[in-house]
Amino acid sequence: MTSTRRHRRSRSTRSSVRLADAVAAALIRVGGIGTIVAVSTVCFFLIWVAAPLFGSEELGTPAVLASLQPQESVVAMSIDDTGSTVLAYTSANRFLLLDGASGSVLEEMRPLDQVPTAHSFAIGSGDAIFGFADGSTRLLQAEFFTEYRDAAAMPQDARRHTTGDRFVFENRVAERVGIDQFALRGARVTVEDPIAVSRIPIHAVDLTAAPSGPAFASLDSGGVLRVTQVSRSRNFLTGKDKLTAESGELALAPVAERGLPRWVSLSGLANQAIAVWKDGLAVRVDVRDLAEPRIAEEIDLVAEEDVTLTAVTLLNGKNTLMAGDSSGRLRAWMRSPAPAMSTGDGLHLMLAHDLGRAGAAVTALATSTRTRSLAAGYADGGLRVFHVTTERELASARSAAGKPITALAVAPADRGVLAWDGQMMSALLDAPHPEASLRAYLRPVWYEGYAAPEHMWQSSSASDDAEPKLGLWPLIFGTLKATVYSMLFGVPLALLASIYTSEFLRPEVRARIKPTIELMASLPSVVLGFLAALVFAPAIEESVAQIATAFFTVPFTILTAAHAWQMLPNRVRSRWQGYRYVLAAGALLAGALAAFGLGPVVERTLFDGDMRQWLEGSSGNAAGGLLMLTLPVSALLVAAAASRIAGSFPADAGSLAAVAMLRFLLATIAALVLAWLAASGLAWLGLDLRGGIVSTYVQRNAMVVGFVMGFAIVPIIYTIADDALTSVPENLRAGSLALGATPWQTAVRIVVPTAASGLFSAVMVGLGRAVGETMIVLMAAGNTPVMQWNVFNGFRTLSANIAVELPEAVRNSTHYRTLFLAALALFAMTFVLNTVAEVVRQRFRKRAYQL
Amino acid sequence: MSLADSRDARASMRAAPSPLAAAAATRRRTRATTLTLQASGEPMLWLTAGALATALLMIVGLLALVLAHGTGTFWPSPVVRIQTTDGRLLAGEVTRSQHYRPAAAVIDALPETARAHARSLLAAGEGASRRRLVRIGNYELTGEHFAWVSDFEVARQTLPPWALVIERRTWGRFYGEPAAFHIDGAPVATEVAEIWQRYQEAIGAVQERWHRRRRLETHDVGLVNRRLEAGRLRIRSAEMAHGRSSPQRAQAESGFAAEQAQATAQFERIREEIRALDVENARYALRMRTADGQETTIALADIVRAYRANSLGIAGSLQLYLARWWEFLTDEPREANSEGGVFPAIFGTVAMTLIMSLLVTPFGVLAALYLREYARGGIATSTVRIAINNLAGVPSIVFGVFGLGFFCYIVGAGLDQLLYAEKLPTPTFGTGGILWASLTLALLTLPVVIVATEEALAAVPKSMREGSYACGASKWQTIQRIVLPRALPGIMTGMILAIARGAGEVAPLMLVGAVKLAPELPIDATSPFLHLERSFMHLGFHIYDLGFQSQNSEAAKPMVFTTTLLLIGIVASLNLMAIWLRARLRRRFVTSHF
Repeated sequence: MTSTRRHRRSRSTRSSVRLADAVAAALIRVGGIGTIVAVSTVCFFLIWVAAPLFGSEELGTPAVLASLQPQESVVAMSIDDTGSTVLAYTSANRFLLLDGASGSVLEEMRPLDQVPTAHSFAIGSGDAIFGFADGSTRLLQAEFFTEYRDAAAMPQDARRHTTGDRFVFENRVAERVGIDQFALRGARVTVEDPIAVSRIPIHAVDLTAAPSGPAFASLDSGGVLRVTQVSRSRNFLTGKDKLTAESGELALAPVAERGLPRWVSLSGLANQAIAVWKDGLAVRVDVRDLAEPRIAEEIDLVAEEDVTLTAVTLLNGKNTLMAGDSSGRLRAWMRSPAPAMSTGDGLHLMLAHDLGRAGAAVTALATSTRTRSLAAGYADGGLRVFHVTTERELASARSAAGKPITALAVAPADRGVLAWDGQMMSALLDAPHPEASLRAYLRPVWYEGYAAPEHMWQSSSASDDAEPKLGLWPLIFGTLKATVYSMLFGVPLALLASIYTSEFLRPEVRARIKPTIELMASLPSVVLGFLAALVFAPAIEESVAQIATAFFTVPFTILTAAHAWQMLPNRVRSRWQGYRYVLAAGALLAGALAAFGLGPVVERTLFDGDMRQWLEGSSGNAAGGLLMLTLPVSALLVAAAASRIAGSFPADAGSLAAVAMLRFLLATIAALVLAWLAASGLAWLGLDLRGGIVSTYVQRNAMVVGFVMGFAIVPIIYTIADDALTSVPENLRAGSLALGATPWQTAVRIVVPTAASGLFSAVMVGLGRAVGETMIVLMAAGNTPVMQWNVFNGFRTLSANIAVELPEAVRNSTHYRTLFLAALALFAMTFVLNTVAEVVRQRFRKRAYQL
Repeated sequence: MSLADSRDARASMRAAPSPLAAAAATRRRTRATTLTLQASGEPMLWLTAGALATALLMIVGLLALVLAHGTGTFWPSPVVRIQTTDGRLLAGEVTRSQHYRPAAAVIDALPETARAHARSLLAAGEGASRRRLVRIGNYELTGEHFAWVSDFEVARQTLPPWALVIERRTWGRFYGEPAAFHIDGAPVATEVAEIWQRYQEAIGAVQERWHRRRRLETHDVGLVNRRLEAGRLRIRSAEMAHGRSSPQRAQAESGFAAEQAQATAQFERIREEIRALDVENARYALRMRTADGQETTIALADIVRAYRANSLGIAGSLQLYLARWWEFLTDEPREANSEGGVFPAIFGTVAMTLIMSLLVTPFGVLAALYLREYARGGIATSTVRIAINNLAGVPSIVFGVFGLGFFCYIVGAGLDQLLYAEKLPTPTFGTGGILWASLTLALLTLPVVIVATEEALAAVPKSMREGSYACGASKWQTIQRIVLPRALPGIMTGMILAIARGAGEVAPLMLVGAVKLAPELPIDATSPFLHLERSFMHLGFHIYDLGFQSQNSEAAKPMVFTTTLLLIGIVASLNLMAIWLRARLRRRFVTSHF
């Protein structure tokens, strides 16, 4: 009593404890939820980055920017990178520099003293060429420039502008770009000396900025087509450029009956010229040899009656001919390889893309300088923007006036479109990823230079003009291929091993062996990749036949060992039965040795002495390869038949095992004979595996990856499967054994079916692991995005592709976002697989618990 | 009634056995035994045993392969001197050998006298011959690192006692015999034993000078450079804040001018010092004669190590072996990573893993505590649990993509804008670095920690919590004093497993900051000591880079094996530590079980 009084405990909780409790609760809640949210951000971030690929493109309503004198019209125009100035060439033979915001004329330039009869502006650069009535041509450069000026050098009233402001200043558009700097933007036009190509007026020209220097095609009014390559040499004394021109010419025959062609165009490498008549006739001239142009082919671009071509241009890269006609149809013609056609150069102008029909005639075309996008203007004032390669209409708009659009230009980086229909209009274009669409990712696409639509992944190339080919299918295919081959190797191995471990291994041995195999799971995959690529791949290359043989000799020796084991006296067997796996290992090594001995024999008899050569060509007998396929099938058939007739061998119990052995050996021979007959029969029927699942041997191939990645997924499948098998309640086993079933029957008929869903989820998890594995495939798969099931060929997976290309991808470019899409696809695939596995496993657990 | 009938029928059958029935019975019995044999499923069972044996053999074989190659790399092998039948003379170390079938043209190309011998050798080997890959070194003279020598080509093979192997700082190894020892360009010794003695006397001091020079070159010059760079950045930031012609900028510039003058003086002093060391070192050189009689001079400063390969003896070999291991573990790589050590990679791996575990453990434990102790159980919680479980199966490269896109390009670029604007457009945090790599791997391994911690928390018996509550403890007190200590083994296990996974992961690192050669370590003696923005070297990436992108992959292969052995060793010992710790802590806490 007294003691209680002395140590009186307060009943209420101390405030410090309360505080600690509250703080801890808050911290754990915030931290915990925050962590979980952070982890789930991964998925949302991937979606967030990849989503703009599928955003809809938009073309703003054209707004009137400027108008000129009544009789004057704009022939060609361009806008600078920042959109602050516009340069226009008009029918009055003058260049006008306009303010990009207000449309007011800043400067007028008249560099040409003669009125030209023909003109052409090269895509993407300010280079242009003009043809004149006297048969001469002149190169001209119209370029935007920016000069920077210190704030101190600017007048007081200009200095009040803040950063980013644009204003007109001394016939320039000025912009404050920094705290003490202004950028003044303008344009200059310079003309080069005339180049005489003909004596009569030039009717049409087309300029190309070829790698070897400017080149142009010209057509004079006499119907003679010329291709001229210009080279520039600098005179160091005067500092002046001197132009030298080299031409080839060809008289176009159809001119006599059809008149002059309306358009001429010259390809990007200046090796092809195409003359197009209004009625649709196109004559393609091969000018690879400049001195001797030859007509390659003549084709009709318009099949319909009473339809004429109204606008023709070459797409960026100058390889694809875009033709718009009076019915509003727009089609892309590509030079594609066509060995069967008897054209002069093995190429053929093929209709690759049909962009559909609009209500009114196509009146103007302009190509993007960055992508394979195309803007088209129509007679009814309509404007449409297409991505040609993927045949997508990105966006469309219509001018308020509804008058025909006669001139068109696409702003740099596809930021907008300039159009002329009597007034200059500008419309903003928002199409950051025109080449991206689900269809382009997953369906074959017809790219330039190909004979038909194909699945292609080629994200970058040596030349700037080449378009990126972003078909994800080859990568998905590679991922599937890697997964399939590694699962083929890994799954049987892991599942069989787990059955043996859980059902036939003594617990104390099991406790040793399981962690050993689990240790495999922690082996860094880069190690496996290195071993696969630098150790196993060269070794396997030397012994393909031996390995193929081992697939048959190893099971054979193991089965033989099993039959031999049966013949041993009962006493010995019961004593040693815990070590069957050790004996099996011995049998396995014996099988491997046999394979190495037999390999060369097999190679000589079945594969013409050299397996790799046999794989490559179609020489030699196809039956050898087919045998590899028919043997397992015939073995199964013979095994089934043998077990059917098992009972009909009357014998006493002692010699049963010997009979079984004999039967097994006989069955093996029967299987071999049957397989050989089947293989020869199939070969006689003309079946050949080569070109299908086996073909040319490459050192880093799917077989190597299959082995090593199979090895990598064994531990995970094994562990989960073993857990599932062990968690089958013991009473089921006991019941089965009590009813007289053998351990094997118990395992196969009771335990495995009960644990089936657990085994399934093990396989699913293994699948997920195989899908996302990066280092092994990166190092051992060769990384070529080909689409063949050939076991002896490489491939490129989604994951390896990301690892290779993401570091070099430009941030926020289509390529970058596409790689994020690939990552998202991987994420989704593995997430789905794992969720399925998890749900199945939980259901299995519940069921096993109820049992 | 019917029961009785049937019993009667059976009884009558037994009473009057007909011969037919007896035969049927025997057949049934034999059939039954046959079926027993089939039922035991021995062949199929053996196939499952074979599968297990395959898996075990594969892992044992793989580890043995790595172990054999990895440990054997540094053991010195003798230098053989081979004279071929066509008169070539070469010396070097045999790296491996293989059997192949030479084409007939190869034999025909041999000199007349050797042809018959070669043919008879080939006939003995059934058309196959052994060929050995000899590392011949002397790259500046031969243009080759390796040469194949077939057995039938060999006319004479000796082990010259004075063959020296010289590991050099440039051009790889040199094989040859000493011809003279030069001081100041004049030979002072021409007799082999004397040369060797002179060399051993001189090399210590020369190497010491070389290291001093290297330290001056990298460390001291680096310090001055960094100060200059800081000065330049001060000017730039003043310019950005106040304008190009502002007084602040002028002030920064004048300050910089003084600093620059000082730095120039410092540079001059360092350069003078380096020059003095160079001059002193350049005095000593070794004149070497190759197997085919060419002579060349090797500066002592260029020699890392030289030894008489054929007269080392066991003790000498062992000493060399250990010295090479020491160099491998503590030195920097040279010769495009194919020689020297991997210290920066070990350091990078350890530093990254440490930072990662510092990040992942608290957050993983917080999340697990929340899920297990605070969140209300229900569909939402179990969904989150499944989702977290599944994240453990998401490919690591996906985390790498996230790390690059989010950490480097968004968070890092934002930090650069805020804090390092004067350095732009050169990114500071806006590119791969050790911090981002650690964060990415932390995300990757978070599920491992959460799952392990949750399991550990769930394993704490309810009775203990209830006992704690009954004693009047608050929730946090219970967690802090009862639950967490008991769950500690599980948490530790999770952490170690996370570290093991993180240490072996390479794919995401390729995107977020691992590089083949980092000039500086992420932690060093210059302020602020911990440079989280620096890119780093990593053992796993080192393996990938050496094995896959190295130009001289044959020479790099031994190094890759050794690095692999090291990495496997680190990862395996971490895993074993997890197992050991789990067992030990379990034992400790098992006493408190009631």
